[in-house]
Amino acid sequence: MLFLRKVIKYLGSIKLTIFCLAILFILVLAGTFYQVDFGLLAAQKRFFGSWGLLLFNFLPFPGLKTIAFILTVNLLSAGLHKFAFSLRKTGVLLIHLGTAVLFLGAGISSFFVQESILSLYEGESASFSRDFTKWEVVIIRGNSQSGLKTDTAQFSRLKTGLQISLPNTQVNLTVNLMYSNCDGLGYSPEKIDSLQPKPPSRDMAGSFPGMILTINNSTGSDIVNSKVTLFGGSPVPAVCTMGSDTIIFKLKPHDIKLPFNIGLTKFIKENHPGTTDAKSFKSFIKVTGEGINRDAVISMNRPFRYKTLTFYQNGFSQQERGNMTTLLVVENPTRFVPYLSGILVMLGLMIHFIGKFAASYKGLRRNTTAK
Amino acid sequence: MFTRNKKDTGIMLNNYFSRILIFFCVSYFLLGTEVSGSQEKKEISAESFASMTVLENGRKKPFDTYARNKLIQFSGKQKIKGSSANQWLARVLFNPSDADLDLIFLINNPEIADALGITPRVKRRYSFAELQNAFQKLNSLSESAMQRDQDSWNSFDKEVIRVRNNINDYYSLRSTFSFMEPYPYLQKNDTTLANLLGLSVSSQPSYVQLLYRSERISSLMHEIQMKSADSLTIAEMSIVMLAKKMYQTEKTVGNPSPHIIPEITPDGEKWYSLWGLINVYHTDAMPTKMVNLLFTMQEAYVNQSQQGFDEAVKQYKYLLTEIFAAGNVKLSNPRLELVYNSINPFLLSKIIYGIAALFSLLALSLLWKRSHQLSVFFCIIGLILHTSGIIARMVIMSHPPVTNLYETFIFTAWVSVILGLVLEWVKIRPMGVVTSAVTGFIFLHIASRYSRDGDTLGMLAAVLDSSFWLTTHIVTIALGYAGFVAAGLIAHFYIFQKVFTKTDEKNLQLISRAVYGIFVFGFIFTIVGTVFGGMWADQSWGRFWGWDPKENGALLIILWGLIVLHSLIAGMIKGTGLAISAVIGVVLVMCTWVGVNLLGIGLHSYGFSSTGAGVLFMYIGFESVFLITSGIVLSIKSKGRHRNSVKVSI
Repeated sequence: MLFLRKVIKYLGSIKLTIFCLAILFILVLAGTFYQVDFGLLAAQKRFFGSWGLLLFNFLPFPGLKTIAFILTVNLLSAGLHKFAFSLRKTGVLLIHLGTAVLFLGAGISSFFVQESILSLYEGESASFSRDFTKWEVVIIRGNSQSGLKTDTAQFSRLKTGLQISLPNTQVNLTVNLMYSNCDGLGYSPEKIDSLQPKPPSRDMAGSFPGMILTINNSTGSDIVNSKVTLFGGSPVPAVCTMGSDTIIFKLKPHDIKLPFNIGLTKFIKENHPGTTDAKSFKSFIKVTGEGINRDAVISMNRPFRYKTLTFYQNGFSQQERGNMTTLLVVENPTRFVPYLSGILVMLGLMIHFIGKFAASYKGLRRNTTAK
Repeated sequence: MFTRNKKDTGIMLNNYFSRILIFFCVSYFLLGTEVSGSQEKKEISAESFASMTVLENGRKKPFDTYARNKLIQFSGKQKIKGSSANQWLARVLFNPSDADLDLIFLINNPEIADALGITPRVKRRYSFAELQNAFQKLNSLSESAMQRDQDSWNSFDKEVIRVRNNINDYYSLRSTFSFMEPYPYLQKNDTTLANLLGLSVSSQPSYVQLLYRSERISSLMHEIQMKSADSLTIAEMSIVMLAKKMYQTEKTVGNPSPHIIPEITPDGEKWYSLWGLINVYHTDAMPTKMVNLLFTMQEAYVNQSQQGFDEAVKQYKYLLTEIFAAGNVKLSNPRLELVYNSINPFLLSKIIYGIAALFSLLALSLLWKRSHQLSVFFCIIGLILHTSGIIARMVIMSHPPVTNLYETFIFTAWVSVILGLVLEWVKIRPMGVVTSAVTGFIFLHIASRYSRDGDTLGMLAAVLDSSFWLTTHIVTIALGYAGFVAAGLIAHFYIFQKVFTKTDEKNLQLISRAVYGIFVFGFIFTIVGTVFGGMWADQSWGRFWGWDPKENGALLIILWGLIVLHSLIAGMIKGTGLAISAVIGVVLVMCTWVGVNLLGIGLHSYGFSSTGAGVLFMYIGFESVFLITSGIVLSIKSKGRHRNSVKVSI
């Protein structure tokens, strides 16, 4: 018991808090400068979404997850060890409670938050959005008599040189080449000639991966088009035939099913007079599905919310085909956590420091009057 | 009014009248050349023109504001010698050949003048007439820079491009009424063509005269097209050339600034310049009344008919009001903006804070007893003007007090002044008024640098279109910044006293408590502002926190505050440590405030600016030297004390 008390005391020590805050300070500073050259996504992955990293490419350094974990343990230990409830300490307790809620909420939400993009032209509708951070290779094979079978493999799990056997077939695939971001060269509706690698994009929806697959068939049936080039930026699938079967390959972002159908009725962009600068832009949508059938408007600072889903106005483009809106779809069941945490912290600050200021002011007036 | 006190060596000013008189005398002396402008050129007054409405960058504004912005763009100043901005602009629009001699184009780098073959001027300002002769060289220098990557541009290239763009803008302004000038593609004394088009033979016709004959030209062209090229007469060939030139002019002219002629349509307001109207109205079916009034204005100006000019301006304004009333669109009264422009409350209050700062430093040195009262007096006057400026901007733009980077400095200065006066109220003197005066002066000076980037009364980006969040998030963050800055300033005095003077523990304790109190004020509001920012980001961008550089900057300030406060609780730092931490806090605030905008990345793009890089680095350098020097002196002092105490014990 004494040992446990000592451990809790050490884990809850204020010096550990200060140390962790200092490490966090360095991490945030380094991550900010890293963004300038490598973009936000890369900085998030390296500094703010990792357990550890090599700072300046040689110094082992804890990542945000490690520091957040230690700080949470530190906070809870301090709560057990120091923060016995008293009215005087209400403010301090609330501040630390709010902070603990924030850390725990952030930790939980990292497992549940899902972001995706939904792009619609006027008059178009869809019941799924696309996650451009998760790509998948979809293989559809079969014929009109035997029917079609679909297999899906996550792009991030594939590696150059990997061999994959399609289930219940004699067909093997070999991954010859993979790029996380590239350009498709010799681009035509029928095929892509080759791929040219590019550095990873800074935007969520900016990276288009590519890969080259070789198809082998151990049964000896002729395979037409045994080498397949797939490019994420091309909507056209690659096709090959094997005997009577057709095999279709597609590299696409992961689709996330929505609980309803969402259609874009109209998109309006209002400019400041005499300029092309947007004053406001609004997407007029129609939502139809189980338990919901209504019109809504999405604009900057006015998203559309439905249960744990929120649709934000992310962007737009005006093309020959018509106006296209791009909505950011976020599913976050722990959305309320930062609000709760923020309120607790702000309340705690007010209570604690108003009391302190009042006492301090009285002391000050006493001192200066005595002078 | 003045009495000699036997105890004091100086003359004492012992009633309010004398103080007010001194205030106005000093103000007039300092501002006289800024506020009043004498008209040295012989021309009519364009004062009535100042309140005419023009559309620029999405906002309807008075010509006075437009003129000041243009003059700042070209010359870096709101006035030129002998003319107000409005008078200058009227000259450019209505009598450009006169305006071409005004020295308005600022060229900082004398090497550019050398490269253009013009004599460098001491005051670095040149006229259009001077630069016109060198325009080909200027063009080729800027073209060769534009062909290279922007990252490879040096200061010479950037300056050349800036000057070239300014010349183009000026040319567009001076061509506003070139409708009325002789059209260069038509020869004088061409009797056949003149007869065909019903023009006077003796004078060269203007473009507007040709425009009003465009139907006649079209019908002539129709007849000419029926004939073969070989059978055309010289007159007919002239008509063909003329039509071709007019067509080319229409295609290339666009809708250049200034946009002074409005049209209210079901799709909204559209604004045109005179030349822009051609692209809309190819025939003489233009809004003739407005165009004619503008021509009348121009004619009256050139003929120096004050009454004619003022009458045309008055009728034009009335017509504008009628158009907006008929279209059910609001046209706001520019009077408040004109008053705001002419008073320039932030310049006035900056100067007054500067005076207050001088008096407050005198008060610190204890050389003159009354200086403290005078410094408080001037601070309060400055604050009243400062407040009125903020309120005026809120009323003119109908939005909260802080919507852009310029306004953050204005508002933070305002809060810092108030914080200092609060310290005065709780009798921390004269530190309070020093804080008010110095921070007020410095931040208003920084703001004035940002005002050179363009019109500070700008329209909001779509993402900022939320009064609630603009009021809560940005205002609270600005309050936080003000707290940190005020605490940091007072901390300098703590360190200075501790290092360079005899230690007075009681006084140091008092200052330390003030530093702590204001540091915590800044800390609380930074946290509150950051939380509000997260909530706004959740409404706008789909997430509470995204590691955007501006967000990271706010987090760094909060982390620093947490480290400091926890270190105080742990006993790891005391008064001196707190003071040093407060100074570092100011550095962090300035890096977040100004430095992050220099990175040019992230979602807070509406704050991006390249202004301030040099000053920021100089400031960081200064604070580093200050802290290192103080640290060295303090450690030498403490070693000396330790040695003495050891000697004593022996």
